[in-house]
Amino acid sequence: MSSFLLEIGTEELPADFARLALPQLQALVSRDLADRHLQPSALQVTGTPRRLAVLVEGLPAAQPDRHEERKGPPASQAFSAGQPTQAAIGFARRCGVEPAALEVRETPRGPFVFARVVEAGQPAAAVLSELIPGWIQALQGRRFMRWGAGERRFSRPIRWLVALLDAEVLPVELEGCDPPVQASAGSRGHRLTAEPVNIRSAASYRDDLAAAGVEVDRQARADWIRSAVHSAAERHGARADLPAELFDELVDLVEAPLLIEGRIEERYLALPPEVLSTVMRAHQRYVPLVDRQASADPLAQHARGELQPRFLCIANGRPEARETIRRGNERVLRARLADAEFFVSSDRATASIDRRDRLAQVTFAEGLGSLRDRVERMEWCTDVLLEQLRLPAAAAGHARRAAHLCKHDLVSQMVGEFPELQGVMGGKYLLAEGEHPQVALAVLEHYLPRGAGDALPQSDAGAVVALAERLELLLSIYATGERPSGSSDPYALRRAGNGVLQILWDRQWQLDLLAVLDRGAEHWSSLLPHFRIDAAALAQDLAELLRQRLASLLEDADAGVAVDLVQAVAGDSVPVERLLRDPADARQRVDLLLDLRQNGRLDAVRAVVTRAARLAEKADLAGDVLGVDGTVDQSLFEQPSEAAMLTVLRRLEPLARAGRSHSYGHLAEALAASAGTLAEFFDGEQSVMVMADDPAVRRNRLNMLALLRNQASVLADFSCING
Amino acid sequence: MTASRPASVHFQDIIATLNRFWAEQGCLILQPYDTEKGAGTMSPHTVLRAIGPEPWAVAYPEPCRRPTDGRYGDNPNRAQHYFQYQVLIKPSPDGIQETYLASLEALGIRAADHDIRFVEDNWESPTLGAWGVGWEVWLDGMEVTQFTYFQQCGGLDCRPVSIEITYGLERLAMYLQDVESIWDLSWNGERSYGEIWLPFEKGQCTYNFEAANPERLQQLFALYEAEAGDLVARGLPAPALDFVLKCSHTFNLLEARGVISVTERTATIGRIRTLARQVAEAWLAEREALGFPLLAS
Repeated sequence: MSSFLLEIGTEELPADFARLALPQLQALVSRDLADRHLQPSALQVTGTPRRLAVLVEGLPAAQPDRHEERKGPPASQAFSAGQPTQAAIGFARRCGVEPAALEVRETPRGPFVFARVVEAGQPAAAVLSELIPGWIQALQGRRFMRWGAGERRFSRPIRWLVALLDAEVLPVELEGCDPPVQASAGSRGHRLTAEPVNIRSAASYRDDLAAAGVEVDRQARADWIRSAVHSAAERHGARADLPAELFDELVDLVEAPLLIEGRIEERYLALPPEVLSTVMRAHQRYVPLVDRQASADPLAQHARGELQPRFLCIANGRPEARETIRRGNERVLRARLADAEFFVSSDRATASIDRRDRLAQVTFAEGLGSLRDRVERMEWCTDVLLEQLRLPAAAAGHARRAAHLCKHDLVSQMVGEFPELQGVMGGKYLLAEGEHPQVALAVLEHYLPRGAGDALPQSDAGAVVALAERLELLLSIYATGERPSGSSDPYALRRAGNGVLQILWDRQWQLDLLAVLDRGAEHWSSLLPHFRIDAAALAQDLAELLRQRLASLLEDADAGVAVDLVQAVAGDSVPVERLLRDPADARQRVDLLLDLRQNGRLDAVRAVVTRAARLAEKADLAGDVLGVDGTVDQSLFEQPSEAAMLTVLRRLEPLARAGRSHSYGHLAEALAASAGTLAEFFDGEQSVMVMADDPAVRRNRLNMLALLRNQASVLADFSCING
Repeated sequence: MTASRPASVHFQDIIATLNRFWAEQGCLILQPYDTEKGAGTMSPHTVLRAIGPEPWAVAYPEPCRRPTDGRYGDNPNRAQHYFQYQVLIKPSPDGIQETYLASLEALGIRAADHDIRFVEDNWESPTLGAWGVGWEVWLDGMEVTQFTYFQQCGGLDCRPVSIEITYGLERLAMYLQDVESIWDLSWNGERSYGEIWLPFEKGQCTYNFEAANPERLQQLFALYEAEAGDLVARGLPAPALDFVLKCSHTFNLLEARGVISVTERTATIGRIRTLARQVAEAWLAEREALGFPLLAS
């Protein structure tokens, strides 16, 4: 058994690639080794910023020989008077055996000649040498690059390659690298270890690199960092503010982690906590320490009592340099916080309402006026939304005030410098000026959700303004004729559409979006005559965008909603009105179907409805008829099963007509419960022939089935659901 | 610090040391280009020379103007006018990171005494239609240099690929001189950075933020844009680039006046990029017509 090492040596990889390449490598290598019958006992992938490595243990020295039996000509043609014929000699040659070794065996088609062929397994070294370039070629990541005069693409330039089977260097050359890269035993250590590192054998890889200052085991680095950060936080009676993405990044930014603890001057705790933590985490990759007693108030004006005047930094230097590194990092943070302090104090010298006026000088987009014009349109949207939503008067008042003020911080210095703090600064400045906390909170929240998976507004006022913000953007940019296409969506219109739906779902607000779009389109066409807007077409295009967003969001929902259920509720067969007159309703129906499926009860409902629907296609009843009266004529009944069917339809009718969330569950139950009646109708002792000769009777029976289909379609288009 | 530290880290000495260092690496040492620009990249010695197959190796200091960064000289870390030291080598050579680290050593920054890291930072200049991948170099947490492997320039694929190294001179100098403010930097041991540049800084900030007339700037932008377009049409990439740079700077001034929203920005940048692409294509055509003379050398 052998050990195998592949190390792809690079210039510093982006931290996310160093991490995301590993599962890819793992899958590629284990798949190919299995395909080539070289099953190892262990396979490990690891990496640092400067290398990706695969370590394989317990690898057979060679592929097993393959025994194969090949069938040749019939025995009658293979031998003549006991001697092999030309046919037999040729067959033996092709199989690489002596004619004397051929065997004759009975088959259902008579006696045939057979050869036992042994294909010698390739040595592992040969198989690996052939596979390695393909693994490197197959790795994928964002923004690959070329370097020098080469055509190879990779995340960063590949500078060396170690490929060892035990201590034997495998002959591998990577095409397209400038300069060319050939496998050797020569690796490189930590940047502070200048000498090249000779890897003695695959098995000594980790030790050889450790001697050169590199902890190559990613998990070991991760464990070290986690424990160092937590014990430091513990020591200071704090909680480390270390989100998973930052943690992952820290692990892949160092080859040998070193914990540095830095101080923040107390005066900077007068800044809002988000300012400090944004600077620390996003700009410097430091770990802020959150006070155990922190209030976590999103409107907190200063970091005192929220954050400790300390930061943790994971460095890649030598312990002897710790002091210099600490001082350097403190100095950088000090400069950044001094900037922030300067911006905050100059922002506070101006009233937010004056900043709102200054929005008039900032162009929003060609033909769409200034940012203040945009804000005014948002205020209009807010009013329209409030008319429908009927919130308590106080919340409505807060929403209106927040809509008026919400963009003032876009011309603040702080947001100019830290765009990610838009809304946060705006809300805090307003609170400091004495605005109602709910107004400040709504301003802060109106940017939520910033993207998939982000938090949603927690206040009613925040949610209304957030809706208004997105509707304004959609109406305005669509009014200019711009549409998102393919990967091009520079105004993030799809994200805006998603936001509208996510907010409505989260708050379970019933909102007729089509009515809002219609009114909006009318208003926009009068506000912006130069675009010659066709209001109906504008509303229709936006409805289509939102419809697509709705289907796509449902498919992406974390519940893992199956595509067929999404199609059944929001597929192409469903009229847009059905979805956008109340988007929350669509969501509830998908959730109900998912629930039924998880409880194993969806199939019963589906079976009933599809059976009825299949025949109902022959009926001429319109799809929106739900009522029994005037549709079914009892006088034409010939069997009791028909009357039973009518009873079912009468029971379903009010549930289908109610068409509201609380009745969907009952409707589904009632449909499932009607399975017996339907079976009786089709197959029972008193079953009927639907396609009766008498056209009136036939029509009557078909109508009953069509009614059942129509009533069920209030829930979903069951023809889309997989059995 | 160690004995390898040079005798002097005055601002002008840092430039001299880098000139000497990169000259020894075979780079031409050039002087700044005489048009306002936001980055050393925009000099034709980089933005045009990165295009096409001809080899190139150059280093030069470059004054940069970024109107929105101005703070009337009140902020110790920011100025609307500052200096970059720019290196461009095509094709990008093996071991360039190590060469760069040696340049820091020449300035007195020994890697072993610090935490120096290459952290992913992909560069994109939407106005130039250029992008590349690379790193920002952290020196004890401070970003002191940008490293970029150019992949596209003026919308054209870069073949071969150039490596661009851009040092932030003030940051490096503040670190080396251990001062907390740009304005306190020593230029030559006698005069400070502030003594030389502060008198301009305040006035320029007043212009950028207050006195610049937005309507006139809009007119200038339109004029420069038209001029650049005409020059491209006449197959004159060099002067056309000058006017593209003027468009870019005028746009930056409009931004400093706070009259361009995020959305408007996208559209205007698109207009400049279109011009930059045309300049790049015209330049490549011009060099090709000459038979790419530097390929011979």
